[in-house]
Amino acid sequence: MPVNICNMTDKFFYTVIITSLLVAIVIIFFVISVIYYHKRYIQLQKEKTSAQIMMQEQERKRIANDLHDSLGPMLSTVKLYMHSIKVSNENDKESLNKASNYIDETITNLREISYNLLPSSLNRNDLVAVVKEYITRIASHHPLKIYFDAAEKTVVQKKTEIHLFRIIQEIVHNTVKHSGATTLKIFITSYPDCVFLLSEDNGRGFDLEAKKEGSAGLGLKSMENRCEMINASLRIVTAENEGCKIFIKVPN
Amino acid sequence: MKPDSVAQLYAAYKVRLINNIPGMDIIVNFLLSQSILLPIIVSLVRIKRLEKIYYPFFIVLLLGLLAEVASFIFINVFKVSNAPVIKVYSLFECCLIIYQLYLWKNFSKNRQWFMIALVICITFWIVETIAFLNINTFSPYFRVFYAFVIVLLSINQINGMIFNHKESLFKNPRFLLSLGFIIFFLYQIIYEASYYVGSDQSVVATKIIIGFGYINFVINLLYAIAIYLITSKHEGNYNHYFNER
Repeated sequence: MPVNICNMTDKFFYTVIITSLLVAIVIIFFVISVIYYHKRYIQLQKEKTSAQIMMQEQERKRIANDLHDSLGPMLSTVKLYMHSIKVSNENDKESLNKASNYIDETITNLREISYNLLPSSLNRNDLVAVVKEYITRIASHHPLKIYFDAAEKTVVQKKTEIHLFRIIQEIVHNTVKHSGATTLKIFITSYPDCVFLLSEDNGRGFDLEAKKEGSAGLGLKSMENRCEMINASLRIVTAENEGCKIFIKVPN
Repeated sequence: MKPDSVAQLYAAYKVRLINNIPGMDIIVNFLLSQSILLPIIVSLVRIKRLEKIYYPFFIVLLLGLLAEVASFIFINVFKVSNAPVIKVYSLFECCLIIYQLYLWKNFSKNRQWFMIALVICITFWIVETIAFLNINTFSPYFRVFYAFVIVLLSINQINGMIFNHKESLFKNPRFLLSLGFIIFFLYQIIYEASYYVGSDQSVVATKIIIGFGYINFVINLLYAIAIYLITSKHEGNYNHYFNER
């Protein structure tokens, strides 16, 4: 009789253990499966963002090329024909000169727009040179003082250059438009395993969380998307009346 | 959906194996098990709207009803155990549900895992039932094994839907059916363990065995809702390509 009770207890014990083990496996599988699908979801989102940004770049390139190669020469031709017109009346001469000046201005604006859409020099020069050129252009239009510096022998991967350039464009644009800052400092440096992009302005700063939640944070979102695309880490340090610091680390 | 719960209980009651379970509970269980008619009736009423992709599940329901009737005849007319009915039904249920889950994973790259699971389950059944000449007695191993496999596959199905679907999941029949599979087969594992321990050995085991009828009823209700949802939207001929029902 005691042997029977012992067998019964063993049977009960092992059944409970095996059942618990199966339930535990189910729970573990559930957690692993959630992690797996979450990872895949993040990956898909990333690919989606990447595709959107690439399409945007392609479209910008197309428009920039059209503006530069098609409209620019046509306006130059118009100007040429205008100069070939011989007029004796002083008023007509003045009108022609005015029209010619407007055409010059239009050509300059067109080049500016085309450059902003796609800096063609990015294909020929490295990022540092292109950013310097961009900042010189901006400085001629705005009172904001921009200090740009790069460490010696800064190396940025070619595929990352366009994204870092766009991020710098966004930083400059945001500083000019929203910050009320008088100075902006931008610095790029590279290490064997990563590239750092740092910026600091002395503007009014902002509430980062509130900006991210609201629709006003489109520029920030765009920077985040680009950082995500190149696997970069983005850190923004800002508060009301304390300026804004942006740190970006791009792995090589 | 679940003929063997009641059939087993009823058979055991007839031969006085389960002394702890009162006769009243067995009758209640019998009535609850008839809830399998709910999803079947909903399916039959709207049979023309039932999409082909859900046919394996519909066949499971019909087989469940058939096994219920067969069990009743085996026990009351032939006065023999209904174990063969349950064993054969378990095999079909297992194969059809795995096939159903396989069909739902239409665009997945890992579909071969379903086929591997199916082959393992069939092999398990053959070894347990044919090789060990065990068709006339109840044994929990295959039933626990395939329940376990279905729970894992259903969890995979649900998690995939959680991250990939934009629409409300509670209106999605696949989600409801998978949820039903998880609850039901997880309980089946515990139920089989309780049955294995023996209701006369543990009060908890007895309660788990009786509780199976109630779970069965809730799940059949869930299946009826899912089938209603499957057959409720049909505005266009090509809608099923988009709504992933």
